[in-house]
Amino acid sequence: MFLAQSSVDFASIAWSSFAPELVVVCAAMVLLLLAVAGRFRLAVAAGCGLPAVGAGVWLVASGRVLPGAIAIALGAAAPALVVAFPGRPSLTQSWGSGLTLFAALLLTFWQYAEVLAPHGGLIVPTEALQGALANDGIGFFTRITVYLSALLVVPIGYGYLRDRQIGRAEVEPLLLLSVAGMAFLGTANDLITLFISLEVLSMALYVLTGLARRDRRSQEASLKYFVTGSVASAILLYGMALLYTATGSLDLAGIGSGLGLVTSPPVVGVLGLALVTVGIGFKVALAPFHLWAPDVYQGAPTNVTAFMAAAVKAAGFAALLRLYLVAFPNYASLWIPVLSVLAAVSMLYGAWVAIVQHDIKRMLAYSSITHAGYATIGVVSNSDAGLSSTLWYLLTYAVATLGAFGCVIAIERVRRGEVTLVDLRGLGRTSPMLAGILTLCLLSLAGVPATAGFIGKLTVFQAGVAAGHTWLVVIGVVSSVIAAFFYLRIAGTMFLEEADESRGLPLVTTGLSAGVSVAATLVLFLGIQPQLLLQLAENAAAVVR
Amino acid sequence: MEIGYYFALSALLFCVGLVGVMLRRNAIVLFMCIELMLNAINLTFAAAARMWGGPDGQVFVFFVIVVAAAEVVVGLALIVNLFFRRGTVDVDVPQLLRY
Repeated sequence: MFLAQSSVDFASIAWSSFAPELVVVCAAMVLLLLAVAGRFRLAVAAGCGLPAVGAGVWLVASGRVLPGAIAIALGAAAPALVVAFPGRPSLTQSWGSGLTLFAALLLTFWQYAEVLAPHGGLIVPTEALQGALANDGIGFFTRITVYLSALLVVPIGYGYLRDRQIGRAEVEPLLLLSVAGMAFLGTANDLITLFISLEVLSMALYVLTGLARRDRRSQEASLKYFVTGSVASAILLYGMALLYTATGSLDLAGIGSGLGLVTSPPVVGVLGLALVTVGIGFKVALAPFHLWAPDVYQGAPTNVTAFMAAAVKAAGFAALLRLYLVAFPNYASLWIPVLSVLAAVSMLYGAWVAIVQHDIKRMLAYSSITHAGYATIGVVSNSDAGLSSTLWYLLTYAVATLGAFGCVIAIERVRRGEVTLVDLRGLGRTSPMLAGILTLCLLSLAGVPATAGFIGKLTVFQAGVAAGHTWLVVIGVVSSVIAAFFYLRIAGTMFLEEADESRGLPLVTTGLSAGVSVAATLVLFLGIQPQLLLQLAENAAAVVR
Repeated sequence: MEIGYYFALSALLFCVGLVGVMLRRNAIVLFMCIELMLNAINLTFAAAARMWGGPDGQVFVFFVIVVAAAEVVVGLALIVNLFFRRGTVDVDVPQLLRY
């Protein structure tokens, strides 16, 4: 299918199907160039900006106004940012990546209006690039989640990276590349695209995890993540190879129909399914494949942890949804029980172990395992409602966890080390705003009404009950109750206990407070007025099959 | 079916790599085991591509080779940095992240 065309015809490429990623990848390259440009920064920025402006003018002239305007704006922003922050290249990098991610978010909605749902409302799923990419709801909603997460992480992490002196010029390009990998993972419709995008996002994250080169915890986390992640990738890849052996197709839909044929050897197909489950389970940290998550979340720089928790989970679940719904419908009687058990184990084990943790980052890591379990309820529902509920759940989880990690960053900047429960004592008196936001995000993670997390849990549980997985929903409720205990214990520590005078006040900078406030606002807004995005999630329940 | 031997060999190589990852503690050896797993997968893809008579599997092999090369770059950089930090590449020796 790849060799059918001997020469590349540019007009036949469906650029609009990966427009947001195109912007992100180009910006990553430009930021890398700027990082090494030295004295010639302005020349490089102008040299990169001019073609972008030219392409934008051409796009506007040919009738595509929004992408054209974005290209012009970003092209002009490149030299403007260099001029605006002389001698402070880190600000140029941060603003550049922030603008890029905002542009990608805008382009995602443009894509929704122009390509995905040209007649408004429901998404019409189509294939692009000879079936390599799928223009459908999973890709659309994953893009929203990952671009939003990255957009919030950039300002939240800025001051933190400067404080720890680990903010080198490659941070933002690596972040952008990782985001592009995640977005592609959400749209990948054949095994090659899926594997490559998974590796792009993982490799950028291995490096980001080991960003603190002098911190041994960061190095240890990085090596652990690298080894477990590579092994998981290899297992997943072997599963893919077996699926190809069984069906002779790399296309997910082709695998789906191939596995239904009597001629395909069932042992090979089932073995492939098992290996793919193990590999993808590692990536989204479902118990018992979660062993890397607590160590990596604790050791990585906190802004990277926030990004990992929010975005990697969304991207991993996008791949998981697409694989199981498109490639394995014929094995539904096999994978639904298996994934249900994994979800139940994750929910109970994560909540149980989180209770005894003292380190806040490690506790949030175990809570992320619990949340992977909740999101899986939507997957095993194997229905449109389940699909949209999982996508929606991941968005609510992303904003809440970003806000929570943002507050942890503010405290960690004073502590210079691990943040434990003791460090939170009396925070409600000394810095009530921060403590309030942290409490709000934790309440959302616990699923208290009037927060985003409540609506997320509600839709997931509804989908689970509708699909007949009542026992799983009961376990989910039990696990929520256990989890509420340790979330509320943090809130209690902050508001009920006396402050320790010797501890410094949390350090909040403009970027951090902006990012955290936006996250908290989203938590409240999605909790009180969920209709807008919930409708979008329901429209997104359309998959290329 | 003669092609079965290729699948059996690649499964064997994959298992050797997997067992190696689980048992060995030297980061460099772990790394070699991962590469062994990836190359075993390549063998499966090549054999399956031969069996199905299409180019897809062989194209995938090229991508896997590229990914493996990229993994070498990232992985060796991490291992070298770790060696500078603590003077050993044994992954078990000092564990700071536990409990």
